[in-house]
Amino acid sequence: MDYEVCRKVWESHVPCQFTLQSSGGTHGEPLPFYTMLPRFSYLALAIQKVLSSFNRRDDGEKVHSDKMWLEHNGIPLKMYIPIGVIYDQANLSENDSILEIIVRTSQPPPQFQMVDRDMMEAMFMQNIKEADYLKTKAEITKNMMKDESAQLWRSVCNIPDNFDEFWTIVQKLMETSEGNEFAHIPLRVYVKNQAFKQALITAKHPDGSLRTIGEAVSDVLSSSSSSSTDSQSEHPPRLISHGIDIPHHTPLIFAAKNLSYPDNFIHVVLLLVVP
Amino acid sequence: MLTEQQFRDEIRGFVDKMNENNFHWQLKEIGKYARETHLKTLSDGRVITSETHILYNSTYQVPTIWFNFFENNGSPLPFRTVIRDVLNISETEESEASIRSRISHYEHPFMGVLYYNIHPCNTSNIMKELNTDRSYLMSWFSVYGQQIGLKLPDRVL
Repeated sequence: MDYEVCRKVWESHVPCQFTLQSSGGTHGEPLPFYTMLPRFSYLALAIQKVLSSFNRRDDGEKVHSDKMWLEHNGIPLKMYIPIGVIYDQANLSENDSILEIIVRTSQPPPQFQMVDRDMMEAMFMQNIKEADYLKTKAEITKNMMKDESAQLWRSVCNIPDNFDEFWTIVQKLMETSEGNEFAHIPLRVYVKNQAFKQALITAKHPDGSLRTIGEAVSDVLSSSSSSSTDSQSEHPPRLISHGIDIPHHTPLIFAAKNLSYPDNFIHVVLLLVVP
Repeated sequence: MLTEQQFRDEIRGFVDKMNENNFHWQLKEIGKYARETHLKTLSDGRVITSETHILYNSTYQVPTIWFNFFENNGSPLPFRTVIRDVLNISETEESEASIRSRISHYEHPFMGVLYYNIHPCNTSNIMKELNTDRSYLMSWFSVYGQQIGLKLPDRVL
């Protein structure tokens, strides 16, 4: 693992604007709330601070977290995927553009679900366990102390502080006993308007050569039998993670060790290139 | 352990067998998963819709139960309501934190929305204790289905 690479991705933030749009409000709307959010965090963790800002005004109805929903460009947002992934999906990195999120108080659309802190923690822990199962058949998480898992979650809730606390535990998750290699690599591929794609992917080809992230993404997409439109594209798609274009030839094992999110998955956004 | 192909074969048989016994399961996504839905009346008289899916989990190589319960306006029931009023797990029986470590929200692999799932990480170990000669999936469902109030028909046991 490369300490500097890991530290930089840990500290990475994106600019966000939250604007309240009530239905039927007779009073003026509060000012938008501007903030920098950690790429590694979740809207589920950020939302309370946003609503507190809106609810600071004396007039107007209070906005409650269980009676609102979040939208970007007309699409309901998933509060449980990392903020960095949401930003990459919106394709804002080239111009460091602001992520504009509308907080609506109308009836949420069926596909939106409010995610509170407890739900988020449960999902995060499930990701950690699954990532470790893929890599080591759960050898590391099985032997982890309960307080170590709690420590990992606490460090994610306190980004950008606590990097060294995070680093201590994540190094443990990135090692294997007796120098064995990871059985599989935890990788999630995000295609527009679909659930993330995932499949069993090894770090090496049968001939022992390193699998690249470009090959891994292709394997994931073909195993989930995506539409042929994707594979027929003239240009190879852009692979965006942490706001950067990941070169297709990057060894998958390097990405796993240095570019994983705290849940230990590589989260890659696929952006089709339009000529 | 169950391969994906074995799952596909068995889920078809599972659906047929359940429907022969007047349960209403259907195959979805050209046989990739099975779905069952029915109305359920809670003790306070509310009528909710139960939605259950059986999917294959490629990481753990086991079947997984995904489920949700909806008000008649389409809103999903919150966690506390699901575990206390629908699944009837009392507070003295199990704390919320303990339940979350084995049942929680997760993104449904086909629908891309949050459903509850029973965490599959221990399924392999549990299945080693069961007799799966007749059908892995039937044996699995006899354990996991009942955790959310679904049963096998008597004739299958």
